[in-house]
Amino acid sequence: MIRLPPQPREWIDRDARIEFEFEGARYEGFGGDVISSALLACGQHLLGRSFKYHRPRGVLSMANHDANVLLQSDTDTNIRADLTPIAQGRSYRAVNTLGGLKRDLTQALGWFDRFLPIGFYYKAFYRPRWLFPYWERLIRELSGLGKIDTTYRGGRQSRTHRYCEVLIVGAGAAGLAAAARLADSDLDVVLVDENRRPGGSLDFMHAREADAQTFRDEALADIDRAANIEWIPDAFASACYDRYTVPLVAASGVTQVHARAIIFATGVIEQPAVFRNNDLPGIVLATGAQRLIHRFAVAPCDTCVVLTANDEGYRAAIDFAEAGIRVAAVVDMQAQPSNDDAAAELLGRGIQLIPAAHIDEARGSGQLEAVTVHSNDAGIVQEIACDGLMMSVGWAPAGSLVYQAGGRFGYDDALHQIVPEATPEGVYTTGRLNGVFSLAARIDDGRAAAAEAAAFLGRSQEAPPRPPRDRTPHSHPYPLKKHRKGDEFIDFDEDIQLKELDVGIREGFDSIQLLKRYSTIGMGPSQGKTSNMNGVRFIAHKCGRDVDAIGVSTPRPFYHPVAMGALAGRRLRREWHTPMHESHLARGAEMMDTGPWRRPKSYTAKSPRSQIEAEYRVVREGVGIIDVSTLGKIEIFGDDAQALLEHAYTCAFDKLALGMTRYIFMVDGSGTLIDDGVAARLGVDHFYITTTSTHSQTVLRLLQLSADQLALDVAIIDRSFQLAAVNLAGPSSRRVLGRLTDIDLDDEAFPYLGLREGVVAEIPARLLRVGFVGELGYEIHCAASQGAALWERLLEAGEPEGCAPFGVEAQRLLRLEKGHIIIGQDTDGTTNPFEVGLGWGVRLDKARFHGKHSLQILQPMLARKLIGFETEDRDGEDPIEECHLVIDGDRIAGRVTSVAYSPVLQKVIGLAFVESKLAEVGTRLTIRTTSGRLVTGVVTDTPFYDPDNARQKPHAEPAYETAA
Amino acid sequence: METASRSPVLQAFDGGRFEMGAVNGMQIALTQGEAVTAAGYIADLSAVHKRLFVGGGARRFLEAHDIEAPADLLRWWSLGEDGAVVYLHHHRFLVVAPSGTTRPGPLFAIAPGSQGDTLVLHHEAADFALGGEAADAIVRELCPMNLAASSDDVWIATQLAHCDVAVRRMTTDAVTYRLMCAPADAAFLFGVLVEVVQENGGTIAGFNDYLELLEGGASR
Repeated sequence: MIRLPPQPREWIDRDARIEFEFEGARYEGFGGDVISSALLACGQHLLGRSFKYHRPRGVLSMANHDANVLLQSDTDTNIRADLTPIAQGRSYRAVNTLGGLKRDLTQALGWFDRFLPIGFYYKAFYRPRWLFPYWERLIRELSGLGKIDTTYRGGRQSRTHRYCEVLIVGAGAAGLAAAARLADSDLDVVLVDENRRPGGSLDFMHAREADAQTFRDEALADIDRAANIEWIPDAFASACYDRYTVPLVAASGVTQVHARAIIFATGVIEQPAVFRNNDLPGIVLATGAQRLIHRFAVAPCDTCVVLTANDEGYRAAIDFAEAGIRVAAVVDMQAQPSNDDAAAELLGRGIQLIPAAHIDEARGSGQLEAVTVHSNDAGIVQEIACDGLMMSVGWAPAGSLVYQAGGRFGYDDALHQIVPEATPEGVYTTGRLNGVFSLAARIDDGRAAAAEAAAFLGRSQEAPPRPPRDRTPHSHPYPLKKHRKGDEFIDFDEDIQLKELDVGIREGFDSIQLLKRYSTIGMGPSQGKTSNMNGVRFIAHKCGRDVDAIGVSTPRPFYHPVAMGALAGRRLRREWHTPMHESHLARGAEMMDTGPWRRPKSYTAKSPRSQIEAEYRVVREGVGIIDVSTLGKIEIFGDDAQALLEHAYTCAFDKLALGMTRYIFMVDGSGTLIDDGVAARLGVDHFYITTTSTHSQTVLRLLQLSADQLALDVAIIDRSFQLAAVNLAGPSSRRVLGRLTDIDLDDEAFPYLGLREGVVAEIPARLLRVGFVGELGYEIHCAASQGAALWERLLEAGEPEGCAPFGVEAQRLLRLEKGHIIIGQDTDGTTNPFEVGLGWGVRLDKARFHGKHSLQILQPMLARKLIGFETEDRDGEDPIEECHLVIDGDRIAGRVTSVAYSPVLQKVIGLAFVESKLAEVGTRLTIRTTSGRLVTGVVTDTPFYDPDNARQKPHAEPAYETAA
Repeated sequence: METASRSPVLQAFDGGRFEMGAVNGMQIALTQGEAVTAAGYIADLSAVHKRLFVGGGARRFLEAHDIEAPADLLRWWSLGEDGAVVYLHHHRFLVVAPSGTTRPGPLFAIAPGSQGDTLVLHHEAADFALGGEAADAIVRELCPMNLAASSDDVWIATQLAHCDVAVRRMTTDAVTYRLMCAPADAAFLFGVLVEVVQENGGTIAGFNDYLELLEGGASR
């Protein structure tokens, strides 16, 4: 056990003992331990395997900055062991291994690394082609990290919104200073941090500094007391959208914070040095080691070497010694120590200082055993035995969210760090992110940022001046050392070595954007937090350019990986129900989507053709009823109502008499058919129109646009959801309807295409005598709240005639026999009315209407036509289907848009677009089916059925009984 | 014959637990028989009378019936209790009767249809009341807009759970949201609201339960 004595700020509860399993073995930790800290405390240093070569890996940052240790439990995958608290009885295992972590068989891949160079998948496997499926399967099998248990049903994660005036991201020294400054102001402030406790580096880098702890305690007391500050721990800011919207991701779900000003106190991310075998377990970032010591009271090793290039490394070395770790040496990459006092103290403790040196190589079998130190000037090489190497060689700004907010960054040559140069209004950066490193300066910078934010929001705050950026570098300009034997890892997520970037640059990928995609540097789960900065330095070095000129790759959301469940949140799949929806379900309907609507496909499961034909026969032979509430319904009212319709539709309305309807269709500005329906005249200045189910909003927009453009005095009222509608159709429809209404249904009193208003089954209704399905029929519209009652009463009244509901599939068959088109099925995004035989409805002699100019041009250019065809071919296994191609010789000459077997005609009928030269009645067409079979069809006139519309007249039907 | 009109969310109420009945000729859940929790409630008020007045003469028509409408678009004025007149659009006004009124007056007795230069329409909408201590939190889960920051006289057209809704926020004593949506969206939206209300410790309330709350002044 390497658990340390109690530390002043430790996060663990030593009274709570928690047992868990890792790789099949039992371990014990304390409450508050994360998985990594508990395992390290038990002496388990090998915690994971790398992605590509399956190299042994241990902890690196002990923060969410690397993905060295990803685990799998029974219920979850890709668990970040450095962050996730241990849970009683839970079992964990490493991801991406074959045969367990210790003996992982796939580590043999490392032996073949010379055959797996950068971009190898672009260069190999495509020859011979027949082998590709094998390679694809193998790569898919070997790649990826954790495995998802698709049978597991976890709890739903929440999604909510939070509105505030100031959002402070990061509760380290600068963030706390900013929040404390705003305490007791009248601003609504949210302070968030990804850690479970506030304080940031105050808890580990400054844990032994009394003044730092005093500031921390006072600031927290101010924040606790302030009613205007909400503290949100354990949640990370995942992105920044529209400058002021930041989704906070926590274990419970996502809170979208909408702020009026944001202060980013996100700090910096410690960067690793790059040298041979720099990924061995035991090689840790100095701040990672300090997190282990101060938060979890775990010593990361017995004997360590500290590799540094800054003041922080010296202070960390003292910290390690204070914790009882033997510090064998401090290797400084710079010639002069950056902290003379600390250097003197280290020497006083008998610790060896090696200036102007670097680590040449780390050695060990599965864990660090020694490092080879190379002195730059003297050329002396010495090996130091150690089981820990702590790296403190530089920092990269945690600035992704600032970039996303619209901030600009530049490279500070004195600091050797990328720093913000400009931020948008209301967006502020503070602390080490700004290149301000001393604790006092970070506190001042945080207070200044708060004052600036308050002033931006109109609060009179005297903003103190911002402290200047440090002029002493805290980052080494090039902490990378190539080794002749390789294995210097620059990206731990993707196992990318320096030699691979070298090859990429030589192949011409010398910009960071290109090299990122070619090499995948920065594309792993940690999104380049510990690799991008070194990658930029490497390109700049190889290409002889400035770091500023190379720039950084675009940091896109998300900052840390976000679970799909968190993104999904609550299931919110909106669907529209008609008022008769429950009745359809009660009758066993199979429902289908029509845009956002749910409609009955047919009234039995899986809609077999026998059921569809049964529903069809009810309509052709008796009476059927279909729910058409999904139709768009629009009321047009006002002095200019007719003028509006004349402009919006292609036909003329001057002859549309009161109480009559007509078929109408609409084109867009390019002359393309976009909708059809029925228009009814209710008064001189009052019309009622219907649209297709899915285009009512399009029609409404176009009507409103026309009304506005022409400054018409008209009201356009969307009644689509206000009204229910049914179509009662079939030779017996008049008889059934007559039982429920006192409206005179006589053919002369209520002719075909007529409209009447009255009462049906005691329900106020509007009746339209139209016939989409080609039978005598009535479309009955009533208030939506009464739709279900109307539906049920009509079915009940029609029981003697065998009245039954029919679904969309039967309706499609019925209308096909009549040759009626469906917009969107028998038309496409370029179809004009002339192509589908609707030229009769285009009044080019009208002064103006929407799309007229285009239709004038299109009329003489008829390259294709929608024709009817029939065939005797009825191959049940390989039938003609919609979208099958019409072939002329070796060319595609058209496609089928609708096709079905007509029970009444006893042949297959359909509609197809064909080239004009093939549109003559009697022309033989060749249609290719799915299997490639060629079927012959013959172009025929439409309607296929009842061309004289005799079925839509009631003369053949027996006298009806009236409600009276 | 049975009352023809049905609430668009009638099927969401468990007939065994709720007393069902008719309000203004619409079948609706009346009461759940238990006290509404302070945490939150969602009630179906779809039976409340609503009329749409459209056309160049609509404002004059309302004035002739002693109803003065707001001068600004998307504002609503109270007609007593939770009744409201809303200026929805150019020449378009919505009048919502107070939910406790079974005889809402002559304006609602006018038959739908053309009245000279005014078209009178019966307005069909799913109409819910969402109230209680968790009301703001519930709305925040489903709506990206900061409804809590809106003033009381604003008629807000927004989305809740991806459904188009019109929202009135009333804060006389406690926060109550009146939410109206298309009947087609009602089953889905009500289902989501019930789910979130229950997660927040709230309950489903009947029409009369809501009236009791209204009379108690706890949630107007």
